Amino acid sequence: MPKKKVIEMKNVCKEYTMGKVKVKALCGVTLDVYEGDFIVIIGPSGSGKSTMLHLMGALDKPSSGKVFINGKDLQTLDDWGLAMLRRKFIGFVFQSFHLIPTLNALENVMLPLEPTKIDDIEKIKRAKELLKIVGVEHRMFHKPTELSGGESQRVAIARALINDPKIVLADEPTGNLDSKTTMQIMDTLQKMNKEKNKTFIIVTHDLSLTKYGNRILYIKDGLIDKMEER
Amino acid sequence: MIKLAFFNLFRRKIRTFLAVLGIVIGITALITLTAVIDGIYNEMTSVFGSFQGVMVMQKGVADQPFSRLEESLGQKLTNVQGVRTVVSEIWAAPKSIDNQPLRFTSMSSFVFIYGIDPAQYKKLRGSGWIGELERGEMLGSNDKSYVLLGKNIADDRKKFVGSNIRVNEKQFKVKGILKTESELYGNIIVMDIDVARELAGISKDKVNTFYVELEDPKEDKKVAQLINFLYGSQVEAMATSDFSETVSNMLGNFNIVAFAIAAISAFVAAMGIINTILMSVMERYKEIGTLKASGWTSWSIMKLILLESAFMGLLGGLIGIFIGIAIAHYIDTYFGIPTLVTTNSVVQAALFAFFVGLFAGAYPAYRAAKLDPVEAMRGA
Repeated sequence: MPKKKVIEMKNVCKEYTMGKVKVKALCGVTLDVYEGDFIVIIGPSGSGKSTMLHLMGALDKPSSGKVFINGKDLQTLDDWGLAMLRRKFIGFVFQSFHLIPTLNALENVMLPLEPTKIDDIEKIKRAKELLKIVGVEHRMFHKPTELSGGESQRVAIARALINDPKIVLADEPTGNLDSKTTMQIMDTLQKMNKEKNKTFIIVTHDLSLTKYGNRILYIKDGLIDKMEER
Repeated sequence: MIKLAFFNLFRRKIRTFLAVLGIVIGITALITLTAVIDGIYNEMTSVFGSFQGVMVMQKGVADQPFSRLEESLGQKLTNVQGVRTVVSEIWAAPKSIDNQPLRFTSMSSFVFIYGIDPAQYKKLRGSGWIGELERGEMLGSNDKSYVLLGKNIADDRKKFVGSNIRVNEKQFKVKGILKTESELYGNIIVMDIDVARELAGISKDKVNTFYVELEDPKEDKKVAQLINFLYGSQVEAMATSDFSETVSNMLGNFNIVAFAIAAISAFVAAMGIINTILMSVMERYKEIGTLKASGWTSWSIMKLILLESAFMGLLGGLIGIFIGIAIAHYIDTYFGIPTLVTTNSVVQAALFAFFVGLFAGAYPAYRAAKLDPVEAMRGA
């Protein structure tokens, strides 16, 4: 059975205007991402890898070229359409976790569901289950300030998964963590990839993470320099 | 989302407190002022609103005790068209009660004597100024050594039906206690008109004022006009409904002042809230970006920020209402100015504060909603 395409990028360019200067962050990128992929994107800072992640996460639209997420052309969607696409198909994990300090772990995980009509009991059930899977169930009533970096990132991963997205995008998810915690977090991500057949795209400049991916993308100067498949 | 918005307010407690202070002051002023206005209005309507008639006093005098009229005028007034019956009245301030000299310290301590002819009073269809009795009986024609007491003076001085009371040099027995709780008429001492004349030093054929009861109470303005037309050279007749209208006109002006104060403070408070919420939005660019990334729509973000500022308004409003009620209570207790906090004014003040907050949140909420999630996540 052929694998399902979840993201399709066709000759994508992205330009920014920084003051009066136009900066090409990305140019001529073509890429297909399939269901169940674990892609690691490697590149130096300023190479355009974060821009690529933003495009794949429907946070931004390309300047030229086409990006399809789950078959939907980003160019045809308005602000609301993009938000709905993110809500249904995409989860984000960030380098510095971005947890809300006033809410405990459980409430942080439930946050993406807040504007939805899903009832509270269901929200809590889902959040607890995810916290259990990522291994921080025992910390669920703790505030982010009481959590370690690894624990915080696990909570953030659970938050990214609460909508049951097809795709999880992670921008330097282990950038603030020590090497032992990094391994634990990556193992968790890999487990979610294998068990739940979720697509993961990880942006990093840590070469040691390449061993987790089935496809490794090397980005340089806004282009895919090299691609390895395993 | 409500919980989230609520807790967001307490992330920067001092800042929230300072932003809320404007609303607190405005609402405090609004509640206190309307309490005083409503209190006075309530007082006046409880005095004048219960019956309608015409008051007749000497032309050009400031107050009832200074008015002097021939008692024989009463008979003439009875013959005026539309008049049902006329009561002669004496108004006087006692010098001492139970040998204690009286001092005017506040409105509620203002004790006065009201002298009437019980036989005339009996003819009234309504109950006149005296109102109804709570306890005891009405004065009879031969009760020259008896008095009726207002509720406040009876409570203050621990007088009951049958108690003795000394007014100036004269000893009386309490025959009844009046029902009215109005500050003004709560301190009334009702006695026989002849005894009151004696105490006030008014000669036998004179009275202070007449109370005129009408065939049709709705005609009070017409009858007052007629009396002024007939006896205008000596007397001034006032319809009691004119009294309450004058009072409510005067209070209406105070109401405008109260709302002007509220409007100004609302404007100042709104500026404070706009500033605070805008700052908190800027501080939370990353957080807002994260919410957008996880599928929050611009509208959801807008709702969150609007809720925060509306809560800020409401919080200030509630504190203001609380302080306002306390001040109103203080004014009533220590200055004797009647105040009345109505549910209506509390609800209005709370809604007002809520909407000021909501309005103030509009611009910051718009800014937050328009944030580009990518920019927001860079923390630009």
